[in-house]
Amino acid sequence: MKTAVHLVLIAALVVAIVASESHGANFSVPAEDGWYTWQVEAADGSELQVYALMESGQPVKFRARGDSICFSGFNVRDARDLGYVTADQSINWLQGFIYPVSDLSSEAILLISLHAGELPVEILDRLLTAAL
Amino acid sequence: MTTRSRLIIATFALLITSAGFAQSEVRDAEDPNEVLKIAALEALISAPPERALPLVMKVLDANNTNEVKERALFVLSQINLPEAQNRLLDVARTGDPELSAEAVRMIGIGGNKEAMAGLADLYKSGDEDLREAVLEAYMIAGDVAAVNAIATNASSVEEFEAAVEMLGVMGAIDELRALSQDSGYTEGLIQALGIAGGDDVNATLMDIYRNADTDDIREAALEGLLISGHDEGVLELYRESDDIEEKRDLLETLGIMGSDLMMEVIDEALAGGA
Repeated sequence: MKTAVHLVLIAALVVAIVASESHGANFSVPAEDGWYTWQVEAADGSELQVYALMESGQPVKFRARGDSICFSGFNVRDARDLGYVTADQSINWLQGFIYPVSDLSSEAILLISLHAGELPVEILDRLLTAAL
Repeated sequence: MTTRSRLIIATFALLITSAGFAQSEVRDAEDPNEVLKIAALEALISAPPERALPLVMKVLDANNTNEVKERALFVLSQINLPEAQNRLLDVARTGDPELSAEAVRMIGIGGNKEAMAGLADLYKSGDEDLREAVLEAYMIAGDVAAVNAIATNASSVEEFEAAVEMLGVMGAIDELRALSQDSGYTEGLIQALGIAGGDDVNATLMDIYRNADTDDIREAALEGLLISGHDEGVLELYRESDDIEEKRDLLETLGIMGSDLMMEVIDEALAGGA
């Protein structure tokens, strides 16, 4: 009986982990219009609040707020909170908006650079050596 | 540079970029790769210096446009590592003229002590453009002593006046006054005082105007008053003068200054006429 309970618990744990990873790998901001926000680890180890404004299923603005970051004049009170996301998950979603080159590309690149981890520098390296 | 300041600079850059894009949009004519490279360089400021440095070096070594390389030089100026500062000096010494002058300015922006010390030699060996860039770097870094040394040791009038003008921009009134002890008030010194501005300077310019030995010095003093915006002084000189030509010049100066005091003069003239 004990073994069966253990198996059930382990299975539940595996399902939870898989579900969590699945959700993380596919992180994306909902398509409905409006501001969305989520939290990630910042490059300096503090918590970074990332914002995206969605219109017609596409992001049109990226913003960020954190301990060391102040966006003067930026004040969104009714952003839908998507909770904590790993830096890499957030970056993976953001980097989808670097190409094609548009107004949003630079915002995405700069926002990516504020995230923690190795991925930001790897992306910047790729961009800087793209046409070499 | 601390992580905090890097993040603040990055955010500032993000704001500027956002504003810039809002006004100009990404133009079709721009090379998309170049747009992304510039954005990546601006973003690199928030990366750890030891990670950013090799990427910036790679950009400088590669066949990039000067615009991209100039952004790379700015990032380099924000990396407070000896390799970064040495590379700035290398570009300043051996880069193409445009990049060389930009590297010098970036040394001024970075304000690194060792790199700043290398500017003196660059000034001595550089052409006119490079010398101008060195003066700008000193101005950016607020190094009055270095500019004053250039003015003191100048070997030509042009060199002296360029340094003196920069002292004016830097508001180095004491140094300008000290230089006048040796050379007297030259036109360049007088105009530099005007650029520096301030009540004390205005009084000095008035004295120089009143006691000028030559028309050139008088004109320079008037120009100094114009630059410093001392319209009350110009009106005072106007009222003191009995010379029609001189009064015309002074009135014209008030007009160029866009001074409301012109109306007083007109009222006085009309009252006198009546």
